[in-house]
Amino acid sequence: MPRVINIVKKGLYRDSVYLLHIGEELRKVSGVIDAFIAMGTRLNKDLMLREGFLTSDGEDAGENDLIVALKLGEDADIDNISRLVEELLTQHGARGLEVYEDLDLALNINRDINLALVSIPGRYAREVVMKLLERGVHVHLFSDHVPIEDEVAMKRYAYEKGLLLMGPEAGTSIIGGVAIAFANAVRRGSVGVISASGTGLQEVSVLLHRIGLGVSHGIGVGGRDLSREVGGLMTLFSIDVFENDPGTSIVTIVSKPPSREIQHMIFDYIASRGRKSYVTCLVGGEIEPLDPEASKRIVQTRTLHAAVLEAARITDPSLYSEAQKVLSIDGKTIKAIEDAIAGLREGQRYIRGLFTGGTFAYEAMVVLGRFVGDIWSNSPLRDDLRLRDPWKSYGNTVIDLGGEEFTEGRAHPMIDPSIRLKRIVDEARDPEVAVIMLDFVLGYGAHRDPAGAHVDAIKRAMEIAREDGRRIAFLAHVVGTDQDPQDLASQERILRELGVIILPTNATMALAAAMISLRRSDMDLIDMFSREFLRGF
Amino acid sequence: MGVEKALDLLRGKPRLVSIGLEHFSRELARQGVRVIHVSWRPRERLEKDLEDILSKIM
Repeated sequence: MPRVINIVKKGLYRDSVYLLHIGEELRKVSGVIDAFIAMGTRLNKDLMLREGFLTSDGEDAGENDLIVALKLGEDADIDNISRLVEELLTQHGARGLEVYEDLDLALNINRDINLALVSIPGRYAREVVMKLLERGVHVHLFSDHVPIEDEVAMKRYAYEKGLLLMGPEAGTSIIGGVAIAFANAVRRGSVGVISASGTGLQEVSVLLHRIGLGVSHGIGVGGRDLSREVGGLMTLFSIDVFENDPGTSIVTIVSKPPSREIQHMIFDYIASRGRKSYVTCLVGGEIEPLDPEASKRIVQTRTLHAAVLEAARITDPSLYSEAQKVLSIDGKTIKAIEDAIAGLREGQRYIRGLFTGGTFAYEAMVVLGRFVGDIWSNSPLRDDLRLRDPWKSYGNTVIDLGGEEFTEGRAHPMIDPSIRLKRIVDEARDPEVAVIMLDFVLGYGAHRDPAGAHVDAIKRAMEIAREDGRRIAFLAHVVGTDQDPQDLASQERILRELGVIILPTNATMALAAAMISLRRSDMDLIDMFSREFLRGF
Repeated sequence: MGVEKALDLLRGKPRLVSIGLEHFSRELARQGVRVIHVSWRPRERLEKDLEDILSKIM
């Protein structure tokens, strides 16, 4: 039996990604069987309890206290390990970076700074962001849990000052070719992207790159920008910016469904003031009836995949057919889907989607909903489809692992896959599961080897099914480019060697999942998908 | 509102300050971008409470 100890550091704060690295270091030490290092939030303590890491010392810790929870073997040298823990926690000092303790001092010394990336807990964000805006610095605000009234106040102030406030909850921006927070290395080009969705911007920029186009800039406006409360303030401002940016000829707008009123206002705004071409993808939203003048300027789409195809069509009709080919499911993949269907046992019928990207989860539900009916989720299309317990799937389920129930006081699942790894194995124990969908997000900010980190869990899940005389189909979409630090080809190879079927886009992954669960690979289904989800309106 | 300041930002490579996750600062530095890091920690509750009280009575 391993011995479990909790070392609690009262009032010591270290960020979640840093703590993840300390955990990796400690696991390498002889005598340490496993390690869980985190701030003492409720979620973290629940996870520790579930996994046998929590002692009464840890239970007493609060959310401002740091818990080092260790499972130790017989041979563990506790004094040595405690010393190492101290060392690792005090090393915090950002080697190789120019570091300041005080923001004012940092800005006084470095007067050329023109953009801030802010990733502190949301309830503290307003004070810091207002200070930056006062000093004329544009802001990308990654933090979530920012009160909506703070968002409105900050965005109004930014707008008055002519500054961009990207966020809150902005996962991704690409400014001047630089990847901000979670973003891929993509070619520069003439498509500007305004996105209320981080992974939406990642998918669009990656697919544009794959078909030979590129991005001028990608402005992440934050998930709530098109809500009634915020009123699309930064989306409107970004439209003005792209209208005046000589490097941008097509503007793509990506969001989850906005308020109808705001959607209408955005279309009016483009129709009356826009001179450039627009492609919109309001995933899960309604197609807006447009007057003839507006419809010359605006193409509406239902998926990120379709938005990219339409951008290609506007650029050059011959590029459109080429792009269709690059992004389609090829013959070999259709064959793999047919093999997966043939390998199913009676009773295997459900789809389980485990997503790190919120918009991937949402888009998958929109596509699947058309073919297989109700999809349960922690972040559902309709409120009556909300899972009672987000840790347990039911029927066809799609999970957004970036949801707050999985992330409070923890690193994002694109950096820390541990929750998904356990969930993959859990899903395999359910005899009714036919297919598991996974997104793998590459690029700056993301895990250094996401595919590699999933190998053991996928193997274990396949083994569990095999021992029970079943086969589960694994589908993956890898959101990356040949220029990303992780290298797209090698990530896809790792998954393919395991027997995972790779799909070119998130929308086609959802189609493939529907085909497997319905046991259909006929052209009727594929044609219906193309008509609804791959064209512009 | 005018868009000149935003267009200024888009014209070159951004020059960044990153506040919070050190991981993001490193990922920016990896791209060869100019970035300075400001380390951040929550202020002690007592300090914050005192400040709130002072701001109300002063």
